[in-house]
Amino acid sequence: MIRIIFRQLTTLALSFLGITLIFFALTQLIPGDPVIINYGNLTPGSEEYLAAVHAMGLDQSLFQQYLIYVDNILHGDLGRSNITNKPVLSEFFTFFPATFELSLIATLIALIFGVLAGVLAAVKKNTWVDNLVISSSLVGYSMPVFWWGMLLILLFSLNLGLTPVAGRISYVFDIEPVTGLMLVDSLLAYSKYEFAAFFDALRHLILPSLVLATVPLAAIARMTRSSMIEVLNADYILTAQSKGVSRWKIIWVHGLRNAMIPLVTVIGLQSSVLLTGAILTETIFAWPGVGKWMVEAIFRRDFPSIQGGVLLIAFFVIFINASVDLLYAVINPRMRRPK
Amino acid sequence: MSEVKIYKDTPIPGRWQQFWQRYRRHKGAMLGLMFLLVILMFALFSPLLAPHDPTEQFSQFLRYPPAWTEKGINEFLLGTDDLGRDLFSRIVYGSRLSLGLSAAVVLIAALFGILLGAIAGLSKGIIEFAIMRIMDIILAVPSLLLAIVIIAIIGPGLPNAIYAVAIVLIPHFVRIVRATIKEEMNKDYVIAAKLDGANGARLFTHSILPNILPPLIVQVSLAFSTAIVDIAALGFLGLGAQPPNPEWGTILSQSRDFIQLAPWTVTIPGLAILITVLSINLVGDGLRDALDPMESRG
Amino acid sequence: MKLLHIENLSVEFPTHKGNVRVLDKISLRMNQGEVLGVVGESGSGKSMLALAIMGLLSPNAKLTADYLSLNGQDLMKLNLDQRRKYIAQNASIIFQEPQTSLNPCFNIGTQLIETIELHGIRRRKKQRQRALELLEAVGITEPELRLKQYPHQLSGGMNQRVMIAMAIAAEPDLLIADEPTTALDVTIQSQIIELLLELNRTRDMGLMLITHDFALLSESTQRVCVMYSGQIMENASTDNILSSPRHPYTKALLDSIPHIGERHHMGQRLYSLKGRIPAIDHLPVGCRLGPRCPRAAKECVKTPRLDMIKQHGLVRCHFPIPSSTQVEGERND
Ligand SMILES: Nc1ncnc2c1ncn2[C@@H]1O[C@H](COP(=O)(O)OP(=O)(O)O)[C@@H](O)[C@H]1O
Ligand code: SF4
Ligand SMILES: [Mg+2]
Repeated sequence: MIRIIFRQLTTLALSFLGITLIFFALTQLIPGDPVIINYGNLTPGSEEYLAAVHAMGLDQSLFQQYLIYVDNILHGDLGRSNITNKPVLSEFFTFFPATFELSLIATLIALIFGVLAGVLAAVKKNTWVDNLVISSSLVGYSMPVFWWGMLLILLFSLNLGLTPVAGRISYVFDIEPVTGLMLVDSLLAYSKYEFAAFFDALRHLILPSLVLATVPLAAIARMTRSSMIEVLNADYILTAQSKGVSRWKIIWVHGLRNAMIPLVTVIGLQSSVLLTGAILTETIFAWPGVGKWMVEAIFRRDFPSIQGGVLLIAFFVIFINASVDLLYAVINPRMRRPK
Repeated sequence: MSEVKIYKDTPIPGRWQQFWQRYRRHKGAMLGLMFLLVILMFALFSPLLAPHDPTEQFSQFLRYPPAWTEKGINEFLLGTDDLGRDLFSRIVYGSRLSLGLSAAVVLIAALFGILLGAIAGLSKGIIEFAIMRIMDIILAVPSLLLAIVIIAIIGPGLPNAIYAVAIVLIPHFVRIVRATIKEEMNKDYVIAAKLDGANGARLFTHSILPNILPPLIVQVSLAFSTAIVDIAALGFLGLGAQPPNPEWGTILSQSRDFIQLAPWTVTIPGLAILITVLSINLVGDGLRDALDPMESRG
Repeated sequence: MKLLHIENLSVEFPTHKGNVRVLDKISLRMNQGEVLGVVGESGSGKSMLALAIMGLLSPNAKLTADYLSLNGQDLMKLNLDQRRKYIAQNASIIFQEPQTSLNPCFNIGTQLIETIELHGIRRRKKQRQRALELLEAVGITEPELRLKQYPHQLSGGMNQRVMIAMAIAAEPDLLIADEPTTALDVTIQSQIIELLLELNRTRDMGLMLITHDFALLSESTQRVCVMYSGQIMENASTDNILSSPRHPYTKALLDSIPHIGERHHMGQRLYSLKGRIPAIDHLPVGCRLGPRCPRAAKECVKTPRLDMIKQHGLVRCHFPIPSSTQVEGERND
């Protein structure tokens, strides 16, 4: 176990090194004067300008510049947004909880319903249930997220009036950001609004998280199905049946426990898909998260925010993938050393 | 448990014939192929099939609903948008962009991916390590975000969107090509052939190519559908094709503000994207099953 | 009361070319505590028969039988759930591949105790104690340690012993061993067979020993049932079959034993017969052995019946080999 954790940590460190290298190389490609890009409109030759040149190490070798760049990152200094002039790191952390909450709920939806549908289809192989799961997951898998979001808004928000069109919570509620997760914060404001704020937050969350969950749900359902079909054909399932183990336990314990092993890797890969979807979902639902922040930063040509934001998101994905690898090692006994 | 046994005297159909027989059995895959051919027709013969110029504005026909609705007129089969442009013609011309651009994307990605994969697969040590690490990192950045970053650096617009999406798709090709080459090079018969003095070209055509083709074909279909969705997404975000280009994602971003007034300008282009992507995925699934009979038993 | 009584059991599978019949009117009986050998080339339907008896056929298989009883209970009268439950209490099965027969995700203890619990021992401590007993009974050293280990950490022979321990946990009256040693090292094979026979003696447990290897049966069984292409070809006492096989197929199987005491390997072809076992959906007309049979004649395009031959047993052949004693008698004339 310790060996595996150690290996993951090494991978993480290597990835960090790689990412910073690539990003550093990319910053060299950004057109324009790097000082002006990072510090806003300073007059070339002015004292401030020269100070900035020195701070970025532009008067030193490329290697020195890279060291300064990494050093700054390690100190949490990702520069300042040249629009709001706030530190990029703190900007990121004001937007990140919204994305995290949305992605987390979407992941849960995708996981629960994807696994359920996949197992059901595998167990009822070649029946209408299976066909329904196969065809709807194929449609879900092919769904353009941004259009799907608009369709649901058209139907549920505009035509039926069931859900709000945008945002995380109605303006009538004044919620103090404690954790940044609206579901939690609205509950913390229980003394003020009782459950009203919580339910309002939930109503805001439901459509975006459904939209975001669609593609991963479909992918998980497809994978679960094929993995489960393979597992249910294994000899140990026959052994369990011959022992008189109940059908329920065979499917959900003996079967799913094995089917989950290849699934974990797929679910890990979905984290990247999920964040791609989050960019689009947040744009459609005016969800104040990292994705929307990034898109806006591009239109404003706010390079420090783009650089810092993407770097942090990449770290996040790599961290998730490392955790998933770890989880894989934990749930797969075959990864343990033979005695 | 089941073993397929073929009598020696029954003729064994050729590789491609077998492949086609297996593919045909897949009803969904055949349906996907049919749809894809129709879309391809639209793309190839847009000027013949589209009744109007995709950018022509009929100012007295603003926001006409599709022809089958009460207020629709036959002149505009799928209705018109807020500028009075014929939606059907825009969709038809859009298919050209969608298929054409994604074909370009896949071509670029496959070319570079195969090249890098072959280098990584045939080399050892630092070169292989560097290539694979870079690919891992590209994979770690959400694809659309990476495309966005690249566009942020090289600027928005169609050609740049193509490069961006292509770069995002390269790592998958690299991984497949490298893995297959590594696997094949370690097989006994390849080692034997090498010892026999078979040259690189012969090794490539006789052992690498036949094994690499099936996963590569599947990957091309996957890349194709990703490319279509990502190009449309970039168009939708205003970072890809720019109006008045009839790119489907761009049409969607334009009609977003009229979602309530003219919902068909939202539903129809999106449906076009969905059907195209769905067809490609159906074909992809069929290809995968037909190329790898072991997998198709599910 | 018979331990096992099967009359005309057939199994069919739907395929896209129509139904294929992988078992054709199988009839056989086993007495309490009997050791029955089932032999035949790979693909002759032995595993299918085992699965059919155990109620483990996949749901798309169609099983029909005039009569199918285990320990006196007519299985055809039970619904699927009842049947599975009843069979689990009365019969167990072990498979060819011990490594894949155990669930890779759970340790030995969990799997063994699951079985023990299903047979009514509820207390944690008792379960553990029973598990240790069972492991010792099948000759596993360091049972305490084994309980915590996973299948991939044990050798094939060890895993097969665990399978046997699990199989006898239910105190079954019938144990079906489907090629229990085929996947194991030669040195381990005889140990496992010894163990099975010992359990048969000490627990009065009926044993159906399935194999493609005649050499394995000669020393251990009372009766032998020879299968080919989903049919029973010959069913007689081991002595009769060894001294004078009457069916050409049985003789071929016997002739293919390379040397006495030396067992041939998995999937090895029968060199004494030309060709190979036909695909189940491409069966020849008449006798299924026809195209490969050295004694085949015109008559053989008609399907032979499984007929009683006096002082021998059941044989499915138009031209059974004369008994060796008779041959000698003829010569003397
Ligand atoms: N699901 C199935 N559908 C059709 N035929 C099958 C199926 N499973 C097995 N068979 C056929 O049943 C026959 C008997 O197989 P099996 O019982 O495994 O033979 P053995 O155990 O004697 O080697 C084989 O010819 C096999 O091809
Ligand atoms: S019936 Fe004919 S073909 Fe069949 S085993 Fe007897 S002799 Fe051979
Ligand atoms: Mg078998």
